[in-house]
Amino acid sequence: MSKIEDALERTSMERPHSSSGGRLSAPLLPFGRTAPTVRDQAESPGEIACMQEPKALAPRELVSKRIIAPGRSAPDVVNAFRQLRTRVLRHSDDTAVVLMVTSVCARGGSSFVALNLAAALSLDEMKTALLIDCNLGRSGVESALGLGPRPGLMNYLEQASVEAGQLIQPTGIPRLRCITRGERRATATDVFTSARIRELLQSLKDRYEERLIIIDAPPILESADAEIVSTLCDYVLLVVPYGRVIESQILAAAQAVEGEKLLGVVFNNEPQ
Amino acid sequence: MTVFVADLGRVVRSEMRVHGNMAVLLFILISLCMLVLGLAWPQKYTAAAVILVDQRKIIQPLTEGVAVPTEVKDFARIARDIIEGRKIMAAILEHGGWLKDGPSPVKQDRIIEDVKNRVRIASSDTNLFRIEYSDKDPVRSAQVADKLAELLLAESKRQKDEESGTAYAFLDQQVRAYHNKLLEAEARLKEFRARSVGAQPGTASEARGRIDELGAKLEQTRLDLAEALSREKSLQRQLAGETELSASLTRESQYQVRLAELQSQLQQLRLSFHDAHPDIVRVKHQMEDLGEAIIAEKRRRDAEAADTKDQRKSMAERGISINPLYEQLRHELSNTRTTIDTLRVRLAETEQLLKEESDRSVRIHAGEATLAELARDYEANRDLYQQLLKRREHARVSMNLDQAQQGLGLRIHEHAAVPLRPSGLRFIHFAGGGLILGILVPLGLLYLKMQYDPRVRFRSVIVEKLNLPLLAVIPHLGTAREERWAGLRMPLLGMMVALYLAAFAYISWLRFAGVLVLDMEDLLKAFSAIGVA
Repeated sequence: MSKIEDALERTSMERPHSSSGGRLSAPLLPFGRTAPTVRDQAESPGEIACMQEPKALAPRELVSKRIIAPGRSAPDVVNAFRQLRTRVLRHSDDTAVVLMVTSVCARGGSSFVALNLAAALSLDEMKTALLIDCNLGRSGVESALGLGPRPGLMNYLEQASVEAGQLIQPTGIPRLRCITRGERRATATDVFTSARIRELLQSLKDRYEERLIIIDAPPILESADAEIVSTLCDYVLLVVPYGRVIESQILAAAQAVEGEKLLGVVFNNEPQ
Repeated sequence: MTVFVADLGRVVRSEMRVHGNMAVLLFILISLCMLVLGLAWPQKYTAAAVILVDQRKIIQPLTEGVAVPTEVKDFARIARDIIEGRKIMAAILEHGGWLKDGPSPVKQDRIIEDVKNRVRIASSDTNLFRIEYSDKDPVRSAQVADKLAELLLAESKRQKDEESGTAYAFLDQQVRAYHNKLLEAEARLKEFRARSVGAQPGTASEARGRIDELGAKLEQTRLDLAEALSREKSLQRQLAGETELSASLTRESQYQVRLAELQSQLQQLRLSFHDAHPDIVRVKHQMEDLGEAIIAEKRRRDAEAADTKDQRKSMAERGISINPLYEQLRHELSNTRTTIDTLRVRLAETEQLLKEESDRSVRIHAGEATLAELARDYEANRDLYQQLLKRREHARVSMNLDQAQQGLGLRIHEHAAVPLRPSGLRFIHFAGGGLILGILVPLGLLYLKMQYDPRVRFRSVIVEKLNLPLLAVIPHLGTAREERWAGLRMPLLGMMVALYLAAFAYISWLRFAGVLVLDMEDLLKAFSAIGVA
């Protein structure tokens, strides 16, 4: 990590302190809640506006990365994601929810949907989104956002010394943060069953009520991790890629999701 | 359903967008192949000679059942066999100019096979049938078709003559054979008849009548004989009971009878009266008179008897005569015996006759069976002979019909004309078909893909079939490069297709102008060269 990035992060951590007595901050912080050790972002909607953003990505760059940019991207795609965002938020009850996005098959577009759903969410200035990349094998999010090798989820789960605050990275999209996959060292252990991931999710949920935590999970039919992660989430979004899977696969994927957690299906990549 | 149709349209559009390049490529490839094929496809000119099968509508009813004309259908069926015969084919090779280069027998055989394959015989319900021949050379096609028709006519006439001639000869031979048989049967019959004169038809009943008559006569004779015999016995019995002589009542005896009566009367009177009674006295007187009379009578009779010679008279005089009943009986017995002898002779004769008649009857029956057999043989032979005679006459008429060309008259109704336009598949078919096929094949492949690929392409499946909540449908979002390319792709493809079509049209025009003609063999050689390379 470069010194400049460290400096930026420090600045971003310090800035909320300076306005902690703000008008809107008090009612939103619950009593008894300990102040987060890592203060990556604003603590209230008021503060969200003041969140420290690195250099925002230009719309042209967004388009080249297949991220929606209002006015530049195809309007029907933008609208589709906005519609998806609205329907997802209908289930959040203004509290932070953890939403897992998984695909029926590999390369089904779950990273694309997760990233763009997060991007669509962050279009709302009162909302913030955190994207966690759980794709242990191949990461679509990382490559799309061009994020560097910072401590990621694996580092956190495997090393107790790593703290949650260290993981959160800005993405160049306003109000959208990301936790990358990180580097995995010991491949033998089943990391998603550890208590540490529960702690992480809980602490991330506790941090902002307006935040939507989106987990980009591997294909549910092909990875046991996805099923384990789905038990930690509040909702699951199933991505069905156009013309890639058969009906029985869709049904199997839907049945792999626990109980009522299946929020719905996103039919992705439908040709226009 | 409407949702589905809308989905379908979108899917087709999208698939065509995805596989558009491939579709265009396929279109160009297919239509180009067809174009080349069309250019190289050998031109085929078909000429047809029409043969009229004249069945002679007038003569046919007249010869109905007498002559057997050949049917048109039969003829069309055998026409191919005739044409494919070695004889006609050799003539055709000669006529068509195939023998100019002096081909080897193997090659000749191959040419003959080719020619056979190019000949087509089409018959219609009417009396016409066509002999079609296809060739690269229009002039030769007409020549060969005409020659084929001519040769066919000549050959069929020859065959038909031969056939009817053979049929007549066969029937004639049969007729002769049966004639001989009939003569033999007739001779046998004649001989038999001559040998057994009595065994004529009808004599059996006569013989039977005669036997009946003789039987009745025999019976009657036997009855008569029995009657005569019993009569003889009866007469003999009667004769035994009668005496040969009978006593006749003389005067003396009558006096004595009277005297006896008077005696008894006297005794009766003496019971009541004395001898002095007048009645007794009278009776005594009468008795005395009678005594005197008797003595007188005795004297006279003795005197007579002494000098009479006739014994019988003396006997008669004495009151004895021969018994007339006895005489009569004896006479009758004699007659009866004569009758018996006669009847016996007749009986023997009748029996002899009956036996002869019976023997004759047996002979008649045996003769009748033989006669029936001979007659049957004769009749069967005669019937067959008559039928054969009739058939031979039919065959003769058929043969004459054929010879006079009055049967199935064949003549060339229309000579083959030199065809001006090629027949069969032409360049335009290939070019047009190539374009249509070029469009249809990609569409068909897409249809097959959609039909047989079970992968989900319709959002309606998720909602209606799988009952899952559909939160959003994300349209395809390409990368910037993809989008740029997508913008360029359509015009580029369009341009390519337009250019191709222009080239296509130009080549077609060249072909129609007759400038561009490929030879199929050259093309095949080129392909094989490419394959070898």
